[in-house]
Amino acid sequence: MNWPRRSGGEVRGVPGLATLTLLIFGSLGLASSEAGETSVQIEKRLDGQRIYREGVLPSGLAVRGFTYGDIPLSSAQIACENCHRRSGFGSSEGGKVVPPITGQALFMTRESDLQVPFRSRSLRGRGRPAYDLASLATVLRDGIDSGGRQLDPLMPRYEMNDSDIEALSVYLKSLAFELSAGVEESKIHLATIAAKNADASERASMLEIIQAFAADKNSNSRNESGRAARGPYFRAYMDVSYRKWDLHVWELEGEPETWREQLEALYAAQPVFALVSGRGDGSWQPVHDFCEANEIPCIFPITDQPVLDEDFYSIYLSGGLYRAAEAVAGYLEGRLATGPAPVLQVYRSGSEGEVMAEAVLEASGKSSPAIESVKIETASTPGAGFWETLFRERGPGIVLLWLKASDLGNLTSESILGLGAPGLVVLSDTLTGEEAYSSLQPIRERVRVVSLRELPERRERGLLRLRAWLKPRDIALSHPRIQADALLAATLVGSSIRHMRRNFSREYMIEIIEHGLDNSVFRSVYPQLTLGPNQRLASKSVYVLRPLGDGQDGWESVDEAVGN
Amino acid sequence: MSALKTTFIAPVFACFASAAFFLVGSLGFSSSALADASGGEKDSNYTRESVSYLVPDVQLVAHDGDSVSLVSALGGEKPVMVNFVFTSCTTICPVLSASFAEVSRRLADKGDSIEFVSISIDPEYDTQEKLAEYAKRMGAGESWTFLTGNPEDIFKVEKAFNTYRGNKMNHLPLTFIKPAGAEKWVRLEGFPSVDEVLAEYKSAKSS
Repeated sequence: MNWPRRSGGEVRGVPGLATLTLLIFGSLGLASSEAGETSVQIEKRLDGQRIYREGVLPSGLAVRGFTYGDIPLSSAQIACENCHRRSGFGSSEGGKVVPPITGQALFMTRESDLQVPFRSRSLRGRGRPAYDLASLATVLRDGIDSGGRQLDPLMPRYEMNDSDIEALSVYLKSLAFELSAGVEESKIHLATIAAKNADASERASMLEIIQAFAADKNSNSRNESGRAARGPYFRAYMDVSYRKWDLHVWELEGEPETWREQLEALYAAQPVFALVSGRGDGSWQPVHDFCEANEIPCIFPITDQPVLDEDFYSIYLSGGLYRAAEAVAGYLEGRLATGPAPVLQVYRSGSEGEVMAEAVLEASGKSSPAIESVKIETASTPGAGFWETLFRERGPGIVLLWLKASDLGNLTSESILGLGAPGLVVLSDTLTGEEAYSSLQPIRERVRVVSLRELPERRERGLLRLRAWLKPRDIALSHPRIQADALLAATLVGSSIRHMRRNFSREYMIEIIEHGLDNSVFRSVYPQLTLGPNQRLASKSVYVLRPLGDGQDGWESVDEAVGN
Repeated sequence: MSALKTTFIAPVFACFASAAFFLVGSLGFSSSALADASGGEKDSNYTRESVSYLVPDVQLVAHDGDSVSLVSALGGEKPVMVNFVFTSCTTICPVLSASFAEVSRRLADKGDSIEFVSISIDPEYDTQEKLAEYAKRMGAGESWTFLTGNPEDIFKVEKAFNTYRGNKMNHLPLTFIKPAGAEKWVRLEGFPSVDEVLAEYKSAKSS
């Protein structure tokens, strides 16, 4: 059975979910998991999944094979997922195109579907009959496709027995089998998280960007649906995949511990295809776990406490406090080699500063000197007396201040400076914002700032694109990092949806972002954004900065990026 | 040592065939026919060039934590094979690495002592720890070193070997061979089989 051909001008939309499912049922004689997959079938599908993802046979042995004739590969090296990716939609690398091997791609006849003027040799898709078990075995073992053609030698020739191949085929048929929840005929549901524990004006700034972006998408200003339906080229290549964004704002009440339950309820009420950006204070773990469990891409949330486990569905812009803490630990190790000095870290109980302090201790490990923690328990701003007592008791030393800028006001009073204190101050611009660079002027030369962002004098350059985008939309630049991060997330989600065409696969969306992020011109406030297969942290850079010498305005890294 | 670089690979540009042919002759191509992804006729899966490279004077970090001068690692008299990979790469690098693993095993069996060097083109992600893990996964022995460094230095190395292609996902499958005492590198672009790499090494040694 073929995909409905887009011949003539009468086709206006892709087949609805019901039609699509019917087509596949009809052609493959399959039943989806909901429609009564038997336990034997489930077992086979899971066996197949293990071959596909891990390169492990049902027998427990490694999958083996050869590429380019005699280069032996085994296990994860040769797992289908490596090249064809988790989605099954394939990839491309260094001039090699890895074709899709989803159920629909393999088990249906493939015809050259370009219109006549476009049937040049280079663009013509190669037709071939649908695969069955016998031809699947031939292509896996001998590299000869169902049309009798030899595949590129990059495709390994596998050593698999009949039951291995049968298990794999059951899994392949299930790949991208159903239209993902959250995608309808004319719209795609997306959500952004606005947790109420975050600063209200930051939240509003983020939402303003995402909503304005969605409004642009929905204006159909480039006549996307018309072009897809009419152009002979677009009909075949773009298909009719244009959908409006239905953007849901998921406002989360209370603290992170209670978010998971709220998220599950929101998702049950309205499934969404992906989460775009998002803002909340505290640990992002509940959202991360929710996305992993429900297989929802969570694209670049604005959080200072990301989860750096390299799971699949969440991609983060930066490593937040944890990455900053690692850099601080590295910095202290170097500094303290030259002479002992007490290290104090001061933070508010229950604040993000406390998370930072704990992360510094963890990153410092046993090799570091003891770092003494001083918790501020009162709600009021620490006065000059607090600091004076602290420095009289402990000496000037190195002070890590994991505080907001508003807490730093009394640190440079005359009496404290008279003590020669503090010896060296380390701040985090994640916690203080830009004020890290302007506060503590009297002791500026003793200030160090740990930063996940681009060097201060280069930041404006990174924001040019944001400014240009805001201006015609009459949006004020209020929170540069929040707005730039939100625009970046929305832009990448937008371009990945366009790139998917009708292949609305959540895994594919993530793979597209992994693959294409390095080409992004816009990089928000970060020095460089890169990803690769299964990488989950886009900006790896972190600097410890010090003021330029000789009273010059500006900051420089104390050494090369501490990122490595 | 002057850097003589070819700026394009002739067979890719069929329309410049005659002009390209002239260049091929002058630059010492011998094998032709780059692997054609669209499945056209081909008699080999790689192309060969003989090129001089000026190895940049940079300090890189090896997977075992040692600081390595690239000039002393590659610039000396020792025979060496080099490739460019990254640990999260899924399509090209597993094949290049598997090829190195097999080639190094076979050469070691013959008692041929040649060094293997794999240079990461994703230095921000590929920390020393990541490389150590990767080396272990590839079963790399004593003679195989994985290098990373700061991005600027890696960029210089990529430029020097004419491997830089912007986005790392666009990187090309390349294998570089320099026999003992040789001035020039044999640059193999594409996917030679293990037998072909061994034959290229043998022929480079005797030329």
